Amino acid sequence: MTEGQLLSLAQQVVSGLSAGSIYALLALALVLIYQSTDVVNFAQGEMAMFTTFIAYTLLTWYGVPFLPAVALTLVFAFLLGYLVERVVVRPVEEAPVLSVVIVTLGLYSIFNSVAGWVWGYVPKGFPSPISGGTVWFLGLTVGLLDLWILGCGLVIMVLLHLFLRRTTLGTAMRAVAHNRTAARLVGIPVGRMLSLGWGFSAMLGAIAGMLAAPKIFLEPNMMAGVLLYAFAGAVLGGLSSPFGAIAGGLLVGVIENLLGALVATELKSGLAFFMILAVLVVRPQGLFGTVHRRKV
Amino acid sequence: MVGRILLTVLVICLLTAPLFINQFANFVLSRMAIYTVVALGLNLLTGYSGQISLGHGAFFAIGAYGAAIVANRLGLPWPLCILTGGLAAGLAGYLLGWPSLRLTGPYLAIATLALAVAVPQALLKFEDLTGGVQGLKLSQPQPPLGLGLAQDQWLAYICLVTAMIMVWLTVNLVRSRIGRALIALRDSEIAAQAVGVSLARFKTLAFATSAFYTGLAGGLLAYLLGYIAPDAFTLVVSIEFLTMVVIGGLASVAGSIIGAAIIVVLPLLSSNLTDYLARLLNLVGLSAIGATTKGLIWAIYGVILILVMVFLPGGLVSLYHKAKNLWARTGPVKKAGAGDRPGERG
Repeated sequence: MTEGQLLSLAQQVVSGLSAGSIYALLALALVLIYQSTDVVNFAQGEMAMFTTFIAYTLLTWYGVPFLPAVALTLVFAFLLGYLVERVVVRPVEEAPVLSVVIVTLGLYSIFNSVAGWVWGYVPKGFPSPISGGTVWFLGLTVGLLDLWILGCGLVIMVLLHLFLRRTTLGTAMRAVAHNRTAARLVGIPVGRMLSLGWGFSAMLGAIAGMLAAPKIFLEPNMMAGVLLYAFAGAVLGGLSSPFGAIAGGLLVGVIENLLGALVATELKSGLAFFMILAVLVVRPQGLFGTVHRRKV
Repeated sequence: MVGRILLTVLVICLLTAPLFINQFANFVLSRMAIYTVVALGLNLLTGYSGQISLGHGAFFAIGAYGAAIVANRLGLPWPLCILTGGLAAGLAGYLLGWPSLRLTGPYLAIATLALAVAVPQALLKFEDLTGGVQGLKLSQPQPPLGLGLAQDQWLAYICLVTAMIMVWLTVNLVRSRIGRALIALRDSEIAAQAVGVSLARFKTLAFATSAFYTGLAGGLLAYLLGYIAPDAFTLVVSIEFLTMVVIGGLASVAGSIIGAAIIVVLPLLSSNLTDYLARLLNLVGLSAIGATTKGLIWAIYGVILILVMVFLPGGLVSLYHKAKNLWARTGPVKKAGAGDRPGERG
């Protein structure tokens, strides 16, 4: 392999990591919910899209400056996630998996269609503090936007890790995810923790949406592809492992870009399907997940 | 006995209806029949054998395209083309059934969701075969001479009769050894296996059969429309399918039919409904710039899905059973009780 080819390969890896960090954030949101409630939230991507539209509205319709708009959006996302869990998911908590899946699909439809009704289906640009431009780094041309996405993604992941490991609230949430009965016995308000978990997940989704929007444009169906890759990432890393979700998401981003560059761009779309299927067949618990033994 | 008579009357009504209703009504009736076939298939998989599929839109597409391609390339008569579409989808379902053996619950939902997204994109990619964005045209079956039927009436008959055959097949299938095996596996895999039900065999069979039904319906749709394109088979179609099965009632043949009828009629009613909703929102000052209220039908589906799951997990069919139970408990005391044991009276 010549040096030129190697460089272009490295180039693909870098832009793959940038896309991957968006997948990783959304995968993390999925895993946070799955871990504690055994619910796979099919509406995660649509909730992210919806909150990104809220940010867009604040920024362009009401002229709110960037940072306050982001802060307000995060508050909105948190409340949205909290309410969704409390109002819609809680009643089917004890129901079979199918019911829960269907409820989140219902949410998917609602968010998608309401967003289309309010904001229309014309793709919109989303402002970003970092716009175009590139930097040179070890002979690579790296888009500033890519760097910004990757950087933000990593910072958020570290913050979340610290939150879950070092704060009382984070520990309580992990306890609920680990063993609900035991958590309740030591006095943790389990229900509130679950709602909080959904709230935080929605915030992660909102961040993923706002990071992705400058790149893929804002429209009601923007997250469909992203969600699929996030699923692929979460499944690859293991639905039960937050670290796995991050690693899986980044890996999926890189694989997607390499495949697009080396083989054919059109094949990228089917990739998520085959990746999910392959992982589930070969190693259903994912790369970093743990196997749960069920008593029968 | 009463049930038998009602059923016969219903069948006769349905079979004479295409002669008396207009073209549009025939189209709606045909679509109901097609969706019934899908609902039966999906219910076999999700209702009776407990496996979630968000990917039936993909099988629907495979059936439609299978039929259209065979019709255009080989020029086979339409029943064979529809059957080929069904078999192609069935094969795809069988193949997907194998990896699915290792997947349960949410994992299966994720995998089938990915399929539903991948297939329309594959349709765009393999342009030579599928016509890409343009889609495929196919000539609709001509009504046989001498019957004096119009095109739409003949199509309605094709769809109706197919749906009736499939209903009859399904009713018998779920009462057979296979149906019992599927239900047993759904309720407890371990217990079912312990009494000798082969997990692999029946689960793949359920997938293949379910996909076959859906593919058959896809083939019918291709002929009904005379034209198919990838945008008719997006993920929302798969959600639509799941919605109708859930609304009607899981693991119920009657539920499948009710669900199919509702999902076909609902969008027709909802154009008024969403207009009304939009006006209502305008009144309270929430005017939307999107201005297309048509898309709001999906929000209505979503609300219905959630409401049904929370308040009526058994679907509309369970209302009937509930009413029956209520009647049995609170209704007038049956005279039959005495007649059963005449000795007591004497």
